Amino acid sequence: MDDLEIIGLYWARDQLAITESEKKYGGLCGGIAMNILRSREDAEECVNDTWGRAWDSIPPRRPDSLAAYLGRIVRNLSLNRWRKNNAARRGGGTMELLLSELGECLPGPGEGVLCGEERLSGIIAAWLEGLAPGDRTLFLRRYWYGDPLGFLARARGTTENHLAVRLHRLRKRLREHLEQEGVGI
Amino acid sequence: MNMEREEMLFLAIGGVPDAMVAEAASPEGPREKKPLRHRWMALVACLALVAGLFPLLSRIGGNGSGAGISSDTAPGEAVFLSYAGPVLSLTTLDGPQGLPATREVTWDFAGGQGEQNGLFTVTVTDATAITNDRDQDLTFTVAYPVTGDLRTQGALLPSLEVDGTPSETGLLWGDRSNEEPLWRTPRLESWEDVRLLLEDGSCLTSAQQQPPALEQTVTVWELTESTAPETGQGAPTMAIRFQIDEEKTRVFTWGFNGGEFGEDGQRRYSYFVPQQQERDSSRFLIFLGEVPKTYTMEGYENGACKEPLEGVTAQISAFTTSLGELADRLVEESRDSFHRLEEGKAAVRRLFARLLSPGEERDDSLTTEDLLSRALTCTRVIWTTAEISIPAGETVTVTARFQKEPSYDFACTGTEKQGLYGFDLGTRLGSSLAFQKTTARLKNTQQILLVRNDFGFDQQAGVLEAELSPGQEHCAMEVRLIPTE
Repeated sequence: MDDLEIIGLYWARDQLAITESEKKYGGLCGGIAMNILRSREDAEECVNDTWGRAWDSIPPRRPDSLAAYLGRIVRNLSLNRWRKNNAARRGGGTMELLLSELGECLPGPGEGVLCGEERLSGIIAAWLEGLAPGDRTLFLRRYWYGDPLGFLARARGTTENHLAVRLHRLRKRLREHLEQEGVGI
Repeated sequence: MNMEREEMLFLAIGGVPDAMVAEAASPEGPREKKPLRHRWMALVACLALVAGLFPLLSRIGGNGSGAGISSDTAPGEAVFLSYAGPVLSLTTLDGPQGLPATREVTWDFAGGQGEQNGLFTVTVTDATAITNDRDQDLTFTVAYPVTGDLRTQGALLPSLEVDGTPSETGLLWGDRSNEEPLWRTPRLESWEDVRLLLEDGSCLTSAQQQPPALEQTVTVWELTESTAPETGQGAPTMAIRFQIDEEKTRVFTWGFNGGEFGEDGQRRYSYFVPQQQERDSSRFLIFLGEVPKTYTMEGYENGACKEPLEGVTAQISAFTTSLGELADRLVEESRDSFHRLEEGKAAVRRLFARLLSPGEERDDSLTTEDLLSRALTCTRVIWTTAEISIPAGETVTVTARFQKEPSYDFACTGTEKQGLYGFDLGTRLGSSLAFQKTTARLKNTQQILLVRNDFGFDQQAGVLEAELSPGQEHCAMEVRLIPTE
């Protein structure tokens, strides 16, 4: 079933919308949640909650891309679940690793002008726009979808080390971009 | 590390435009520069055309069935996001090496039978005729491998017949406890992974070994009868706090949701107290070494463990046991997931043994749930065994029959392989037999379109049987299903 039909089901308040969403995007959402949470049980709960959130928000929303919309919901729910589980204090987790890598992109504390999440998203999008497609998708696979490096290396037919070096350069470039824009976080 | 700033950046990345997210839907990314050998393959293909050797192409890179897939990898090198593993070859456990054998492998696509997990399966029949070329009668055990995990059951596991008589005697489960960091579950994601796992024979050897005894004594604090006032919101949480000497004590948890490691060995572990309608489960704090002399139990409004909540209670009791028996109990507590309890216990014991081995880097954040999850979902090789006797100079045929799932790309990934299903064959990997002839065959292909293969099949020309060349270690095919009216 295509996305427009599924969104139509949500608008018609037909619960088949959830079944079809699960069928089409269960794998995508489950993968993102597992990447962040590393717990099958927690990931399943977040994915289930995702369908509920979609049901509550469509209508009034009519997303352009259902994949991105549902992916964004499960990503945020997974982050919340990770916070709730105090996973940050456990150390060694996937999410902590992702955040630790992202720490390299941050301008120094107190530097720049603080801005809202939406504005920050726009600045990051403008930076991504200027990258080569390969670098852009690599950055998003790692920090949007939360893919492990090993998985990406296999999918791209290269080595983890090669991707780690590329990502390190990209993080450095993002920090320079944020500093140039005078953004504080 | 200031987590809040990183989290803010993580959230902001989540807000980039949908089109960019969609562009990154495939983990493969835009095609990387082709490896040199592929460019050579393209050159060879051009020369073959010029030289009028077009039929050769069907064995190099595709059979020209015209299904419209463009790819510059050979079928055997294609990587699917969900890899089902190859059809592997029969081997011997305790018999002589190098017995001559011939093999016939058939993939029967009739009717999409035996549907598993929403995917179709095909029936694989793999008949191996072994000849006793020695001057004495031989009795030994043969083992037929498939890939799977501890949840694999039913028709996905082979039945074995020896000269037409059902004969299987048992299963051997491959061990992968020493691979990858403990928190990461080993998978088999490509033929290359399978090759690395099986090429030196150690996987089959370790599958026959007994699991470790794990006789170390552990003290277990068990928390039961947890209660919390009905607040109507939040997630009432019980936390238990104590101090250990990290040089003398290891702590493992079971049934907890959070853990904090403070300075000087301070530990606080917490769990959500089940609400009335929720089923409670066992919760253990497992101490290896010295046991804390005191502890404090505290109730909180939620898992952040910041806002205290009155009225959160639990009973705590202690018992001692061996680590091995405790590991077994944890598997039994998870019997809803572990249908194969004994195999599950063996796999979990091996992981505990690695966790405590001197060379293993200590990671106190690892939970026992992590170990059980890894034991359950780790992709491994499973051998079905049978005993056979072959008089001197005679031949016996061992036939394995089972359902095989295809490799595929998930529906939402947007890769060029969406809608394609892959099947592959290892012609001799991991086998002690000397295969002299291997024949591959397709049956009931009316409902499939053979897109590419390097077996030598040509569906359009009606060539559905191929004798594989002795040098071929691995063959693969990709098919599409023809929609039924």
